[in-house]
Amino acid sequence: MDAIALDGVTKTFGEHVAVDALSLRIPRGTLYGFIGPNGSGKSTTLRMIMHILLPDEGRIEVFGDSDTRSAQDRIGYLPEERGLYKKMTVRRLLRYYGQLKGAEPAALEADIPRWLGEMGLSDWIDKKVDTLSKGMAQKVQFIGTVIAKPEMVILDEPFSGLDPVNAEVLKDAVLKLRDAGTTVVFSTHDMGVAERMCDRIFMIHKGKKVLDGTLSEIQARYGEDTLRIRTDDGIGVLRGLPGVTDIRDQGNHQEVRFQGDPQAILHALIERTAVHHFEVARPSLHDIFVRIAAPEREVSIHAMA
Amino acid sequence: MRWRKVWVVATTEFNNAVRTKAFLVSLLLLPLIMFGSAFLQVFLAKRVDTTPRAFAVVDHSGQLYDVIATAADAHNRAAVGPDGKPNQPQFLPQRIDPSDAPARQAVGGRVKAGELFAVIEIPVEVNDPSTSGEPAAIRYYSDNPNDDTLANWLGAVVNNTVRGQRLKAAGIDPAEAARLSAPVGMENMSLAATGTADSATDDSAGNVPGLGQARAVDPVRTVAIPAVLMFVVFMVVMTTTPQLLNSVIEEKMSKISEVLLGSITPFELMMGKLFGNVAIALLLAGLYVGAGYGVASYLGYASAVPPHLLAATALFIVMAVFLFGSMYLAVGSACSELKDAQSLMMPVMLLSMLPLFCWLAVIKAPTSPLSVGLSLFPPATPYLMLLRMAAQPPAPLWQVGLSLVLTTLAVLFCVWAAAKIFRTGLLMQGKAPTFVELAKWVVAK
Repeated sequence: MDAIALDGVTKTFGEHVAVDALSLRIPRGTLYGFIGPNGSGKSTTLRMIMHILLPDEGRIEVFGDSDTRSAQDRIGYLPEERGLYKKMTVRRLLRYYGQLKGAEPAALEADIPRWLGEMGLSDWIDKKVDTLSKGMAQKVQFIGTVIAKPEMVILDEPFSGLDPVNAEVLKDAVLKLRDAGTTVVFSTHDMGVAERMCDRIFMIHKGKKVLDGTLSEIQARYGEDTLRIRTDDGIGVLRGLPGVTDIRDQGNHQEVRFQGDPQAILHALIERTAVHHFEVARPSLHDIFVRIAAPEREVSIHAMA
Repeated sequence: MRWRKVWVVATTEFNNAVRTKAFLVSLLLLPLIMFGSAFLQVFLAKRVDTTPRAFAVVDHSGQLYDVIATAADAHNRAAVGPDGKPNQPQFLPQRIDPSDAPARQAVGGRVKAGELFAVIEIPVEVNDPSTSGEPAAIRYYSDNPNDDTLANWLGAVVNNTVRGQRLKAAGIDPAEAARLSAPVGMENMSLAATGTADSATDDSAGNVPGLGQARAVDPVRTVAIPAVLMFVVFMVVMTTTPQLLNSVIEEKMSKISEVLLGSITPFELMMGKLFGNVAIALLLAGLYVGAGYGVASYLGYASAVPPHLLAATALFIVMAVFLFGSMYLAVGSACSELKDAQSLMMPVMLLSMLPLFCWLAVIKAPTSPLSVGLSLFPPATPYLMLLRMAAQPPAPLWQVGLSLVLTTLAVLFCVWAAAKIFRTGLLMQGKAPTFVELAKWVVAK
């Protein structure tokens, strides 16, 4: 059974269509990544799944039940804009969040110290929230989301603003949840994270679904049309190469979209400069994202090339 | 509604409020401020300004200056405390000859300059009891029109003298006139409970049958206890319900609202907050009333606070918290910042302060149409109907019943409307809506 099934879901705010006839299936036990530019409808979709907003049209089922409110207790939700009660202690705050999800107080008394221990926050259990650093607060928020042992967690931008160490701690925790059978849905702007962590990736753009599948399924749609190149002379020597349609400078290397024979391009390049790296590759998720979200940018580079 | 979630919110709200130092401080501070201010007023009223009052008298009648000067002398001698210091202001009259035009003209300037406290002008015909129209008046000029110590004293002196002179002119002995016009006192009695066997027969003292067991009216029972009960409700409502506004705005500003909405519906959240607030209010009221009841018992007034009044106090607190609490929650959810809330909360504030403006009128005439009307107006019912139930005569049962029905309807309407606003406002950020927009949220599907 699917954890989440959306069928033709539409949500408008005044004139603005935030989500447009969206259909999506999220199988149980998967780690599903939601990507999309700001304002594309990610958070609205997640809010509708959480019964915080109601769709204007279409049907949403959570765990096979169309009453999304009754499923609320089985889902841990970390919204994009999140906060904590500053004057509460960490223990009382987590107890409150847990009890709101229907967790038993006795179970919480054991789970709260355990989770805080896993996140390296044991010493802070009886400290007030306003004494925590930003990273600590974000980890406490994550614990608040999972403390009631939900069957599914929905995390809106869970890693944004975290330093690499804390981000790793949180990523490990998310992967552990998935390994324990929890369905995980998270949205992110970090394409690297989505590529590395997600079983399946869904991209929404202007309220419509534009990508949905595993990373290799998605990449296969675009074929091997990308070259990763590192030379002595950087981006300058790539302009005007035969068959090159788009150049993206990544600093130490460049990504080039091409048509035709890559060998011909390599020949032409060797005549211009010393080549250190030349790889025929599938486009990265980042690349695919930008192609969908900002086609005008490609046009401009294309014209430049 | 999932009551378990409501319970979790309510207990958390309660604990958050009660477990703070601020709660303890406000618990002690509020009565201290109220009784302190009452004490301060009594204390200040006793403090008399003993600055000497020099004043000029322009006596056109030519008969009264000497009397005033003599009376002032007597007053000044009597107005000295045992420690030799004046305990009342000294009155220092100065005669201004009415025919001395320059002196008369200068006198106004002397008052303005502070050299004189006041000037009085006594007309020629002061002694003439006119048969038609107003008798001639004394004119009192002063730069301190609100300080009436001197004016009252002068009025009494002149009137006593003039009355004596008029009586004498009419051939009546002033002493005899004073004896004959001694006022009859009036004792304010309350009615005894009717229907007792004794009341009909006990007229041994010549009392009206049925009134034999009447007691003298005790202002503690007829004014103080009703007022205290009403002010307990008032204090409790004023200290607890505005907190709901703060709590919702805090949740909105710290972006907690959406986290909560992932677990609970807006209506459940609102009800949890209201129930939590009711519990805080009842705890406060219990502490205040308990302490008050202790004092009342000690002073022998325990019977003046019957259990049904205590129950009514509790019930009215619950209703008031729901009524005003839901309004504050609606306002709080509609605003993103505390300063946006100020203008929207003004009407709620005014409504909840209504009893302060009219309780005196109600307790003086509890059965007047105004009192009945006000006590049936739902936002005022929790205060004023309670006041009327405790006052003499107590409000008739049907009015109490009607007020409860009306207030319950108002509570249901407010909670319903607030829930609509709450639902929309909670996720709204940015500019605070106008009242028109709020009304649109309420009628929206």
